[in-house]
Amino acid sequence: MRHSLSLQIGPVAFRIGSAWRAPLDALAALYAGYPTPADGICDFTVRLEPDKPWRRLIRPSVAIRGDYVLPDAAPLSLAHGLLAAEMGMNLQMALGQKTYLLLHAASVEKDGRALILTGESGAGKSTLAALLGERGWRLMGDEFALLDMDNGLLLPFPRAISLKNGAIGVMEAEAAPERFGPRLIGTPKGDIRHLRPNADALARMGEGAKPALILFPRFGEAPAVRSVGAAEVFMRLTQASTNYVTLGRRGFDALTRLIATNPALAIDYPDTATAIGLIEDFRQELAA
Amino acid sequence: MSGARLLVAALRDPTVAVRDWTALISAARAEQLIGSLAFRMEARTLPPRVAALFAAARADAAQARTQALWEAEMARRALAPLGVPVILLKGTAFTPPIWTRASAAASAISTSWCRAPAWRRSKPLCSAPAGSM
Repeated sequence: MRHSLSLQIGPVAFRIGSAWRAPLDALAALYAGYPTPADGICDFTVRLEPDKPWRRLIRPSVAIRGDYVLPDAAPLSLAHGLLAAEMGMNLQMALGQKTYLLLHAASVEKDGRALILTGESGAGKSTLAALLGERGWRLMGDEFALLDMDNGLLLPFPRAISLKNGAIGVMEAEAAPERFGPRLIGTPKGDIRHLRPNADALARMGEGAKPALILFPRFGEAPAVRSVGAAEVFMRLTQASTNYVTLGRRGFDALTRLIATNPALAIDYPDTATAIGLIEDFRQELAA
Repeated sequence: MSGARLLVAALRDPTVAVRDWTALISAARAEQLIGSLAFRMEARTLPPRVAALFAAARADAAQARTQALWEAEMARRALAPLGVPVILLKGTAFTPPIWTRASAAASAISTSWCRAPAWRRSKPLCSAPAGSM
């Protein structure tokens, strides 16, 4: 590859190669302050390549390739090269992560207690995690939560937060402008703007935390809190995991231990202030 | 050195000096030989990150093997009443995840890890003579 960049994010290191300079410049700016892997070895390689050789120069289009690929993924325009790099890293984790049980979930930590927020796209987990990360919690990740199957600890994976559409304005009011990437307009998921987690989240990216509560948030409903039974939590978390099946018995043991040792609540909320209030209440109950 | 050359060198001699682990791992995944490489280098002292990746790759291969053999056993049970010989073409090796790139080399190698365990080989899992798979 013509251009290359290595990033350490939590326990995972990525090498991102690109046929163009621009996506890696954008990536380096967004990930300013992230370490490079201390051992010089990367867990995963992402490659941003022209879909066809001439597409490097003529109407350039970025195909997301790497150690693991989706054969029929549509290429992105070069203007969305940063998004391609982000999607490439997501893809490696979703298809290739075999060391940790991977949950499609956001996670935050305070006083050594980690919250796992999971739900379908649009449930608001990224937005809530981003907001909590600016309000005294440590952001561990907005997209993937990594469960260490040996000791049950949740490990941080503090990638840049992917804010979509309405969430962009919410976070622009909270965080300093230099922590944002460019606004990417008209992507397949609408408008996207990435936000670098704060200095505390980066400084503690090697520090795991004990899970304390599993939350299933749902945006756009009247406020409601419901306790979720173990069987339902199990079913939902197996659906939220990308590698539960391939991990076999180790995955089952780790997931059932997580569920057996943590309360789980489904919360409906009409606005983020309500959700944050509920979560602060839960935190005080857990501390009591 | 290209990734493919690195991979060939490492599979031929698992004690070979490796300068670019990232390239080797990437090439091994592309050829679906990461499990083979992990087993080949099992006895070797490795950088901690590589050791963890290879341990996960070995566990993954073991799980894939369990699943493939389970499917074969289910097929055997379903077909048993017919009393006809059952032939597993190239074992049950053709169960790679659909999203990874298949390759001829990987298919050829993977026949070796789908051999049934000894206790199973004595059963009519396959019509071929025992040990010929």
